[in-house]
Amino acid sequence: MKFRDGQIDVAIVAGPRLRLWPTQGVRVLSRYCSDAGLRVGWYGGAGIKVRGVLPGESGGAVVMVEDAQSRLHRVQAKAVVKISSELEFPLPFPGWYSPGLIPESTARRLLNEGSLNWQSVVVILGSGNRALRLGSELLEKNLSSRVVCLESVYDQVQGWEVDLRRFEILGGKIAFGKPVGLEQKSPFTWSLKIQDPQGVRIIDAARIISVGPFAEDAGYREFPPGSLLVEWENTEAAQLQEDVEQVLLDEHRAVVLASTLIRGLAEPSAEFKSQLEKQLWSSKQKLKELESLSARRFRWSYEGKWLSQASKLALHAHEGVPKRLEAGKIKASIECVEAIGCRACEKSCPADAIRIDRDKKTFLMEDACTGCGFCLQACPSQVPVMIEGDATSSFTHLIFPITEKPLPKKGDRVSLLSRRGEVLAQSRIIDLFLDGPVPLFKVEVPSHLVWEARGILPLENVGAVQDSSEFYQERGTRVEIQIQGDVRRVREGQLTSVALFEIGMARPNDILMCGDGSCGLCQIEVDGIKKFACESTIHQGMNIRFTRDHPSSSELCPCEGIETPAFQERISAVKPETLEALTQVIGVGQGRCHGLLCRKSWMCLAEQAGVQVERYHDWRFPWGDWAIK
Amino acid sequence: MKLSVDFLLVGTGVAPLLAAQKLVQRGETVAILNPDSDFFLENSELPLDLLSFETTDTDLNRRFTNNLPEQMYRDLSPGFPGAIEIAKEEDLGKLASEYQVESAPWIRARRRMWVAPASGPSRERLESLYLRALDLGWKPQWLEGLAMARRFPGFSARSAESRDLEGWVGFMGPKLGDVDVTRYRTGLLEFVRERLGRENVLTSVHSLGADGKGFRFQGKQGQPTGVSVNRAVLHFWTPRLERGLRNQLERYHPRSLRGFNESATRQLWEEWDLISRDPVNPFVVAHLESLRVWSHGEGMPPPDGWSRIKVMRRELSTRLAGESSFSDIGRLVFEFMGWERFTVRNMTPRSFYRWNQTTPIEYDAEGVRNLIIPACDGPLQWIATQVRKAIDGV
Ligand code: SF4
Ligand code: SF4
Ligand code: FES
Repeated sequence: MKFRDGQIDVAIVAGPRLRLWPTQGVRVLSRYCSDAGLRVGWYGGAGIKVRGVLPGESGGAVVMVEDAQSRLHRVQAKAVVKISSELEFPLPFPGWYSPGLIPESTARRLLNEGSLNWQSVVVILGSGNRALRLGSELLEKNLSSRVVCLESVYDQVQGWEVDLRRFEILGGKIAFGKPVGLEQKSPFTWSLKIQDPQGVRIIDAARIISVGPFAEDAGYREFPPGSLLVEWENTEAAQLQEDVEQVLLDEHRAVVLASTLIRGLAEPSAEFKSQLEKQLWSSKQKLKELESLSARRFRWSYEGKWLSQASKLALHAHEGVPKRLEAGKIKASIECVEAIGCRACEKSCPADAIRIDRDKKTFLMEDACTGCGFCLQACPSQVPVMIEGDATSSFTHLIFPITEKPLPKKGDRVSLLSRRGEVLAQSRIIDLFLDGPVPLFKVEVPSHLVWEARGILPLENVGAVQDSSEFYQERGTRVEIQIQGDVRRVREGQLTSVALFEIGMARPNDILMCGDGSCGLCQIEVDGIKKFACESTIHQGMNIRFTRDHPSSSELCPCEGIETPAFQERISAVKPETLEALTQVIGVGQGRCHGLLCRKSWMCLAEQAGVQVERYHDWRFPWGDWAIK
Repeated sequence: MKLSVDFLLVGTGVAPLLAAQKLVQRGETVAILNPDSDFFLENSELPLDLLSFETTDTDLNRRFTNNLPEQMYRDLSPGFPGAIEIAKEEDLGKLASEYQVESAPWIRARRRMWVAPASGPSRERLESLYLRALDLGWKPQWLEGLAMARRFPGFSARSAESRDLEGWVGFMGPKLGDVDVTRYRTGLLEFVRERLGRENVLTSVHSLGADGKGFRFQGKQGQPTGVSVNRAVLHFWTPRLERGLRNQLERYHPRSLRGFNESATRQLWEEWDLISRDPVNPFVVAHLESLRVWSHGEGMPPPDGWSRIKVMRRELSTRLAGESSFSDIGRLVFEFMGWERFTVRNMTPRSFYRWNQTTPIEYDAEGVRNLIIPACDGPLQWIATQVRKAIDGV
């Protein structure tokens, strides 16, 4: 094993199963630190595996990194910032640990690489933007006929109004309640038990996808205090448009963190210092504002099917909405009432008709709008619509983008839908514009509905679902393999984990599908050799055996076989005061996955029992089972 | 809030708990202050004696005798509020008796085995150790080649023929004890908390120090508290408390600080947790130069053994997880045990002292009697003995 030693001031390291690397927060942090004269290193990304951080006795830490050539780098750092993956599961409930419940990352993999049938109901746990968008995607691509987003806090949909709107218009449903049980009913159906104020309900679903958010976004924490060892949970999305708030939060947090590190490690010039002070002050202000944003979500209110008077007023007062409708003129209406400001619409508009100011308020220069439709296509939440005609005549027209196949036809009958997906009236498609840069269609709308109708549902085209066969079409050739002694036909070259899901033989320990062996759970034996299902691919004649199997149960820490009741009993007997004590005495999180699957769950339970978990981070070394050849 | 006690105990690990238990039995009133946020952060307490002999004139007989499972039982059970069980190889697979408590600490009787390369200075040391054990009547059993290797915990016989096992020699020594530290600590803590009441077992205390009327400290929430101490304040020396204790001594008893510096040497060990793919012989603890190797678990081992292996490795510098760590472990695992790969589950640094002088230091601080009890780290059994001696003396 080749070995290298190095030294650095600030090491920014990627934890296991990270969705995004490097994050915007990482970039900002390292820019500030290096401007202050600190030596900064990033460790993560393709081929670079961070094995763990070993805190030193007198501050600082050793970071162990393995590069693509399997060389080991032992980096002595004065400060470490670990970016870790976010909480992917809700609090454990009986049966949660089963292939019926998968995290979003696994769901996406199955969507991209698999040919799983999700046609019946899909339940998404969580109601944040990511949950709503995943739901909308499933519906829009006709991959599922019914999608329910389940939020455990009553009447508190977490996501933006615009994403909620899109989801509901597409037919998605929101439900409130806590998942309390999950059982497999048939190879591809799971029964999810939900507890709400009315009692316990059961939803049968093809799959439960766990997206969240399940905890408040806490940003970063230094543990132990004063050690300059920082864990930062990554909740940032890959693109700015996907989650402006989060990216901004991360940027400002990075400034605050950078100033802490700089104060501890560097002696910058007075000029730099005063600049930093200024930036720090404004970042702190911004953080306050952003952090309270989610509590101030905008929601439309209704009187029967119609927008309430207050909502109507709010809509017309909004600067993104045209104030004058004129016969024969098409104008966009940018109904983005919350301060989102992802600016995708602004950037896409060739006529500069959309402006988003510093407070993220949207303005439409309605005279400049040419009705080209670019903004309709650009907005990730499909907020803008175009309105043609004036509201004094009995009919006006609404213009929507054509997003997915099958193509609508002129004359198709449709239902007009409100912002929350309720049918308002019947209408028909009166025109298609397929030749322009943005494919659009036009529907006729009774004028009194022009501010109410924001979506359509095809009436005749119910066969749409079958058209998704295009998506499910055979990819690759099928080959025969043996799994646990049975002969099965699966697609060649496919990831073994995906294949296991497709044929309904996935095990609970296949749900993470980390793709890099970092959880170590999905071990199988391929022709007698131990491998990870998430790293190996299918080939003709292979023989797969399962080496270890967890029963699907209420286990809190499946690796170590610890159940929730036993855990709670031990907590009340031993009354541990710290999580270190808890892991030692009860043994949770000490198994093969190093708590990747269970840590956050028992942390929540422990917190409820009064254990100090705040700001805790387990710096245990290494972070995952580390196989050395 | 104002406390008033006969004895105020300041410490981080098992020692203050054990002392409290003994003092309460004597009818004294006691409170414990722990600067750590829990009693589980102290990691200088070991399940067994690592028998790392710095000098050749170690009193081998005494070390072996002290570590016999029965002796360990005798040292650990007084003061422990529940049962302690002993696990022997003969009992493996037998059903647990109805008197055995599932969560009790167990003492396992495991054979010690010493192994060294067949030539070089290590072999010479091994032979001299063997001869001394022989002279002392410990009936060591000399072993070579496969016969020796088979007994080694974690040894894989899979490709034994292709490895040069003749290059290694060793011997089997006596059966010595090792104990479940966490269970011992948990049992004691539960009991002491109940006995003293939670308000007298305080964690996360800081700003400790003597004041005119006794002792003061600040609690978790920062509230200042005074304690009037009728008899004495006892401090239990563990590495986590070292800095504070040195400051105390410097202030009140500088002369003894020098004595401490001379009598105590610090040892740094790396504790590696490896995962074996085959079951591991649970009844042998092996010594291979600077390494100690045994299979790890709590209670009675299951019939086919545990699959976790502990490797304790002495690190002479302060560089943890350096190149030499990996090469030592690599040599053990690949060359000797014959694995194709190994999986590291954990690596934790452990540090503790070797003490030559173990008598408590006494000094007067602002009119209050203070005692520092050294050597409250290392093998659990030593700590228990040390605490017993100290408490008997006050
Ligand atoms: S329709 Fe075209 S011109 Fe009008 S706002 Fe949208 S992008 Fe700009
Ligand atoms: S693209 Fe424009 S309308 Fe759509 S979410 Fe972003 S800012 Fe709002
Ligand atoms: S589930 Fe893997 S350690 Fe708990």
